[in-house]
Amino acid sequence: MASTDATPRTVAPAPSAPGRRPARRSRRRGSRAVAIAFLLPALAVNLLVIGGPGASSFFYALTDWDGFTTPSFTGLENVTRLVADSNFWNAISHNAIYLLTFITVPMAMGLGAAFMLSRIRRGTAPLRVIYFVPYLFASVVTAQVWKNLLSPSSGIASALNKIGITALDDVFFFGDTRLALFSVMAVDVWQFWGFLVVLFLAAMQGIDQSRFEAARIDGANAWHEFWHIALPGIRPTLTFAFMIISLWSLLTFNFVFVLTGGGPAGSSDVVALLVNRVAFEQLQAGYATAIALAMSFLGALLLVIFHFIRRGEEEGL
Amino acid sequence: MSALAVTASFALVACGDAGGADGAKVTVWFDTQVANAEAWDQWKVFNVDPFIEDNPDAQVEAVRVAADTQDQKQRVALAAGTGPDIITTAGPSSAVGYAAAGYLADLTEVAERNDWSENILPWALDAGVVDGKLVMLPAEYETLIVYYNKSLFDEHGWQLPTDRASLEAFAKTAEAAGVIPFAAGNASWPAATEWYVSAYLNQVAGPAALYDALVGDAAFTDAPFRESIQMMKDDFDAGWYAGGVRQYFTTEDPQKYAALADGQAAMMLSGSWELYALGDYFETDENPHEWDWAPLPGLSDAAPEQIFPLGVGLTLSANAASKNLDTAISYLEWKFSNPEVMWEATETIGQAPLPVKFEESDIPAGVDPRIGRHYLEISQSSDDGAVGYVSWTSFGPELGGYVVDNADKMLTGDLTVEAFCEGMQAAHASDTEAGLVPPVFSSDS
Repeated sequence: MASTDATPRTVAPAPSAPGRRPARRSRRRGSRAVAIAFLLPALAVNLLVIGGPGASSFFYALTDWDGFTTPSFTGLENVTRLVADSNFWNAISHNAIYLLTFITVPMAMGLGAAFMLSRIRRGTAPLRVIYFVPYLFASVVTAQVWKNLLSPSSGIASALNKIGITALDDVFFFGDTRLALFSVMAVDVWQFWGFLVVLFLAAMQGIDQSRFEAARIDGANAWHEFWHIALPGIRPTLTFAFMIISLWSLLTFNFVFVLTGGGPAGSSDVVALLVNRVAFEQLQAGYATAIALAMSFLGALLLVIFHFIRRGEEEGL
Repeated sequence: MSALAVTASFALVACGDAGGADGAKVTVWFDTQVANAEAWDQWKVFNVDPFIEDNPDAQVEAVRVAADTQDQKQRVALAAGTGPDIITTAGPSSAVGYAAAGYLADLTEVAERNDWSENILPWALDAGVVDGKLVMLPAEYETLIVYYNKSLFDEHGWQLPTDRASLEAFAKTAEAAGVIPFAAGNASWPAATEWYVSAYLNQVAGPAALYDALVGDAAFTDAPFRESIQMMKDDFDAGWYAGGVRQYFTTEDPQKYAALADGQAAMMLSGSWELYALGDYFETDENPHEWDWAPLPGLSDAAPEQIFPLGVGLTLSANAASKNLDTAISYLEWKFSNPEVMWEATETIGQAPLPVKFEESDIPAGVDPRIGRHYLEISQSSDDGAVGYVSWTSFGPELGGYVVDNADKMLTGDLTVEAFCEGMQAAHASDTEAGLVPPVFSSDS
């Protein structure tokens, strides 16, 4: 739609008075130099700890390096092996399930809880704390607690058994190949979704309250307010949440490592675990680097996609 | 995990001098597998202090490192030239990579000087020879055995199975009495399924066939190996282990021990390391049941009646790049020349003895007779030729990794027995090509 505003959005710069331009240029040059000076240390550190190993990763991914001896160049052998490696595809399919689950389940839970909290005028602080507290626990501790809770012999199933409820008797959350991955994800969601509640609540509280009031005057119900005001109002935060969840789903490690170790029979294996095993147990650091590099490319691809989504949003605003 | 993490952990390490020891100080990284500081101090009492008493000019810096990350940290440190002077590994399968990379000093002359061939069990010493050079010393030896609840057996008048037929009959009897034949579980240690693979390969195909496969005269796709793995799968499917595959995947070590001690299960197939764990569950105020152990029975005509698949659970080597190589070697010489300190450690802190020759009279009275008998029978079996092989000592890294990664898939049926055996053979061929098959000791040594 063409703007009807009489004020031009872009104002052509007025001709500078003679003698002022060099001073402004010099000031601009000076501030740019200061900015570069501030950036240089971080850039140097980045080049050292990311650029160096990053560049060497490309080299090692093309070798048979065992992490010990001098690597031999093997061309694209690791890449062709990766394409045919059923363990890799098994693990990455689990990362994909992780991703799909986390961009739906905790997102929906987080949005719903945040919206409900945003409608409460007073006393939300304790609720926010309750939702957020699990996120503050060390993931290893959380995992171990849930491992005990879901243990068939000593957890909830055992406690229910004592009062005559046997419904969980034949359920092996972490020992059944059909349940293991979903059980791990359930524990991860339990810890993570509170973070989303706090994130979305903060964003929703930034929305101009007069919009909600106007909608209510027009007869909007809670769902309408959520769908037409709250969701569009936190779109940048939503995009950010999608982005970090996507990247974290590719990197997930802690909960799987502690709860199942990727088992049973690889049914909850993820790429980060596979890389760890291949590099440090099977001593194939070159191949492990190739796997990790493939994941880095996938992560970069996601970042590019989100970059375009965000740019589209900014242009649409 | 990003590519950076993998590369950086190996490659982005600080530059430093090889050895990393000052003067006559020897560094050793060690894990006692116990959590409290008191036990760590006790470890030093038997593994450091006596050496210092004998060598007042020497110093030993013992650095405690968590067992599950020790190998990884040690590899990175050695690549950076900052590794310990004494290199410890979890067995020849792991150590052979260090040897191939040239990190392990040649100890052949040291062995001759100390007559180690006369004192150390021959199969264990042979397991440390790579390319004709002795590069690692066996510091802990173990075998796979059958533990059983002796009180439960006495109560029911049961006899231990001695062959396939009696094992099948026993399983039926035990299950009829509401007892699971074997306590088992790999939730605490997912790699534990390799113990069963090792056991069945020895019990069905037999040590001689395994030797042939390891040296390349037979293939893991041959009928005896397929039959071994098929029998293992059948027994798991029958619920002999933990009551079923899903239960096996869910059971933690403490639950496994408790099941055996409480009489919910009759036996437990596991390694020598459990000798020191069962005391917390048996013969206590709460549970008066007694435990005992027996050798693995042969389960086919091709296998001997009793088998001791032998493994080295810990190796010690001298860092070839150490600045204090002489002191490091002195430490190793001291370690293998003080059997009285070794037995004292076994008696006091439950430290497994070194694979050295000994007489029954050498064992202190305070050592549990079942533990003493265990090591005596291993020595005897070495002489009798009733020894076998375990994956963590005799398999190369790719074959070992393949078994750990895929044995559970075979149990769940995601991988057929044939495909599992084909994978084993392919992995072994790869290790062979890379020169990473650990030394194969003779089964009649």
